[in-house]
Amino acid sequence: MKWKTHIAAAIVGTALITAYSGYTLLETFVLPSNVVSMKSVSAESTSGTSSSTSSSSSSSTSKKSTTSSTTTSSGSSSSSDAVVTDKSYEDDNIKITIKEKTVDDTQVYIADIYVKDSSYLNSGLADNSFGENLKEKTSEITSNVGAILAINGDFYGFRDTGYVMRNGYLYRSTSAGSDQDDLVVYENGTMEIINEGDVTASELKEKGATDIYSFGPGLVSNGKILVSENTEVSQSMSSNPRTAIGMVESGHYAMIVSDGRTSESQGLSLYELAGVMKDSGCTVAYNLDGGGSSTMVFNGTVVNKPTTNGNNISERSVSDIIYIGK
Amino acid sequence: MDTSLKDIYAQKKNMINSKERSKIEHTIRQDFIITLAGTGICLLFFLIYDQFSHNVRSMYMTYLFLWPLILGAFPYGILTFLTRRPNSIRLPCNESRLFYNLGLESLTMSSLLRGIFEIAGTASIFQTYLMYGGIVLLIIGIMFYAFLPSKSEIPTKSTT
Repeated sequence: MKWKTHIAAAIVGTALITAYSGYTLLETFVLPSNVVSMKSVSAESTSGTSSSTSSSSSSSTSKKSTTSSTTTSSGSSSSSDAVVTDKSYEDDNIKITIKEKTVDDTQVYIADIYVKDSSYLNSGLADNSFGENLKEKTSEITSNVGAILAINGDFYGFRDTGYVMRNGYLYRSTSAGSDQDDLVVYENGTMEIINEGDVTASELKEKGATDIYSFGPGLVSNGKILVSENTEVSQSMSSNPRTAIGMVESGHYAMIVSDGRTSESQGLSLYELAGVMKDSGCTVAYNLDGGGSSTMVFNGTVVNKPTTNGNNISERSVSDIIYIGK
Repeated sequence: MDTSLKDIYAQKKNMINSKERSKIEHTIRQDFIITLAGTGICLLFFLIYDQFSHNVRSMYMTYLFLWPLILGAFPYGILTFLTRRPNSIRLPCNESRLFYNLGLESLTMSSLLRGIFEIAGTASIFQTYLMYGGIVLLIIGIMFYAFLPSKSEIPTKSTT
């Protein structure tokens, strides 16, 4: 090989590797893929058909195939005589109380929730669609679905494995393996922590699951804390903003968000978070996406101080939310 | 061909080989310096990235510098050192260096991507493909080194 040819080949090869790496970054962080609209899902649910997405075999059923079309921008449940304050909401079907407290130098927001039935506990998706890299701020999705109270979900769109089931529709059934704990919400309003290595998404659906969240780990099960002081999400080794959801009993839930990464609020470890959930009476509790994603929205207002791009106080765009509303 | 012509031919051939060898030695020194600089850049990249990752770490990012150090600076350093003693070691041909260096680039980039993805909490199959591609390129480069002689090693006739 001549020198000029050699140099040209080296430059072309390097350019190709760089371009490929750039595409990989775009594909992972920016480009939407495997998009399924919730409206088409709702239509299939109504007609009783089933379909499959490019990422999984999916089927639809369910009592609560909700879309934004079933809600109003003013949010809320069926009752029109709701009593609303800055920190509470109450009508015939829903009762929410938000408390703030400081735990281990961290500001924690605890929403104590009573609902008449599980149809008031729902999931909302960014752009009203399932898909990787589809993102909206928690407050925007909350507004779209007309929720009273919402927290960020599991940010399923950031990964291409892990079960994803929302409002009765199984969007993704690809297992993330035995290291993955999921939260399953059943039709009767109960919650359960499962491991993806032990059960398939289809089996959970047959058992009556309506929602499956794939982040974790599980914090509390049967009233016992599941994590140790050294447990962390992936490689994270410090206190962080956190989001968690838990069940005291069917129809009685707790949603918790903690601030972090600021001088006013350092953040919680998973063990500390599990302690807060247990102290709130949760018999089952699960850790959702945290860090800059951690956001709680109540009556259209962001309650906590989410951190994005370092320590800036601003909302991050996420894939999904869990909300209270109809 | 009479003896004098044979001598002239051999001397000319040796001159070509000597020139070619010198060129390759120079390029190997360049490779050594580039991979050493790459090691430093990878280390610096990790240190800066670590400042913004909220103590979330990935071994693929932390030890990123080991790829250019172990597979680049180390072997090229040995080659540079050994070329001071003529004929003590065979030199890699251009094809060998090309594939090997591209393989090293791919593996380093793959490790960098894996580190970024792990810290962010995600993964990509495309990163895995890049890693496999890097391994294949690296093996091809080593095969070339093992079986294809460089121009400096074209047999010359004896001058005696």
